[in-house]
Amino acid sequence: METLLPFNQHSNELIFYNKKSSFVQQHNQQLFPIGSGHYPLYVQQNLLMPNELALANTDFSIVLMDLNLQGQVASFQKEAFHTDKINALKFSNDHTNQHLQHVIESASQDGTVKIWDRRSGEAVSTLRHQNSPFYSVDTNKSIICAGTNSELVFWDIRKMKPPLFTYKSSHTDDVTGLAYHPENPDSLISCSTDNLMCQFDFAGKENPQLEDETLEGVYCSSQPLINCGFLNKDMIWAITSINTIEIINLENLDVFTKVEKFPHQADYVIGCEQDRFTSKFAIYAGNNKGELYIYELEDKNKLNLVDMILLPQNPELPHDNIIRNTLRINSDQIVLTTENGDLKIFKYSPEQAQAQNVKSQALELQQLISDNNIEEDEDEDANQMYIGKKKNQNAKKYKPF
Amino acid sequence: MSKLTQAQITEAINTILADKKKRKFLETVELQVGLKDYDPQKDKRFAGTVRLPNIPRPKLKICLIGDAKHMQIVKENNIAIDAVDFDFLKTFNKDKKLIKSWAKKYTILLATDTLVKKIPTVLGPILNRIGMFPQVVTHNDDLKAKVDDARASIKFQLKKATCMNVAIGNESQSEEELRQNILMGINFLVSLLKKGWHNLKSVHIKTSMGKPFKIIG
Repeated sequence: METLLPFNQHSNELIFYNKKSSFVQQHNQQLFPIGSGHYPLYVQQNLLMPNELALANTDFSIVLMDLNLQGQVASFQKEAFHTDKINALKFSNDHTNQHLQHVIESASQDGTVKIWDRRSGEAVSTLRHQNSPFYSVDTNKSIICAGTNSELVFWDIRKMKPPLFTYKSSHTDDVTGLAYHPENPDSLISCSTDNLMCQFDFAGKENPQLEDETLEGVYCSSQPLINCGFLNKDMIWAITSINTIEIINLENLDVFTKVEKFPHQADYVIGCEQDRFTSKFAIYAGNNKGELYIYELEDKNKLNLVDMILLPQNPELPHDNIIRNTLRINSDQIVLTTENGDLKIFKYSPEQAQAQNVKSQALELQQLISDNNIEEDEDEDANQMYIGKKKNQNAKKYKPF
Repeated sequence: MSKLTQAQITEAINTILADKKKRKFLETVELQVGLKDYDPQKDKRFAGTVRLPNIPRPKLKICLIGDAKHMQIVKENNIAIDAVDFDFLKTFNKDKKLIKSWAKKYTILLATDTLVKKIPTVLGPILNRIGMFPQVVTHNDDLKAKVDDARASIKFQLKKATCMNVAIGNESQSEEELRQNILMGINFLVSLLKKGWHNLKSVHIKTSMGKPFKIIG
């Protein structure tokens, strides 16, 4: 069986930021003082300038990092920083408008949504709404929408204050996820910890301020939802708070599939997205030992493991290495941030694992979506062995420093 | 800190049940949990719904918005819930007050999957607003099981403070049933926490009016 195991040796990390490594230490000192316990909460990539990342950190700061210049960072204006946890960060990614293409939005618990100019680091605008905390933000080309602890608030991007209108009825709890359709700026979805996901359609509506008119559909999950997004233009994914993923058809809000179990020992879902480079649905799952599994959804009930990354463990700080963010920055690199403040770039090489996968039909790793757990015991054993083996291999060959 | 032993829970249950006075209502058994090493400013959101093995709140009123097939199932099997059909909803004519006063009679609403999509168009967002949007039942689901699921599910949610309180049973349940519920609840919580049992600072159980009893901490 050993020869059949998919094996991916991450020997080619391109850049490695670590506060304990001597390499590029000065950058990290700028990011987080050693031992401060701060780390990046969110990482976003500027799709118009792919070498630029924006980080929202636990010390409420926002910085831009340029990967071309060995990770040099530019901090945004300190005086304008948020004063509480940042809950969402987004690039506007609008290349058609020369002003909007430099815009970054951030939503925070402190009751503000800030609009930043990435060139100057200035907070161009600070939006508030009755001091309610903001949990999510998204924009299409003309409207900024942000979610509070029970409302959706809309602003016109040309005339920031006051809000255009608010939707008070759709949710009763924190609106944790908001997404405009990637191609249709009139379609919006929102999800919340009250278990609901609402879908709005603004096209041709005379009174967009009345949510009765725009509310197209509601999906009720059995679990609180913590994030949502579009998949393939006609589907929606949502991550629940107990680390499962639900995929729903946009058209009639029927459940397409649910990912409830992972073939490996994954403790939590880091994120999922439609891979820009393969257009497959990729799921990133991590566990408390600092391991990352990357799956692709093959079809309705088949998950393929395409890659995995194992971070070195520090036995004194066993939970230090928890991966909080993953981001594919280009077709062969993936950025990770961990709870010890590191930002690491790994080579993403799914082909290796996939090629091996084809051979390893004996080893049935796929499974484990909802109802298909009949041969669970057998599979689990195989997986246990597989995981154990994998670790040994990694332990020998994995030398990041 | 180690895992809970059965004896610990049994002792706790016996203590709180012995300690209570007679009240004019059925007292609930509550689970109170305090967390440590958990920073709401940094750590991931902590929430979830868990289905307990034994129904903690048997009297919850449930109403089904059903199609013909589901209505028939309710009648034939004598399931103890109210059931209305879709035309009934139309009689509200989008009158928010009427909808609200009707829905507020119940704790949980259920609806057939084909109908649930039409509800926002007929009733508007009012059900969302009062937090009563119906849970979906399909024809493949066992309706009775679904009703029990709805009754037996409890929701954990951590807001800003690192402690929370949920109903986990009632005083009429046997010690065995309570123990199962408590174990299930705590195990579920622990499974969601980054450091598992190390994140638990304290766990108490109490009856609605009684004194709390410490299980962990």
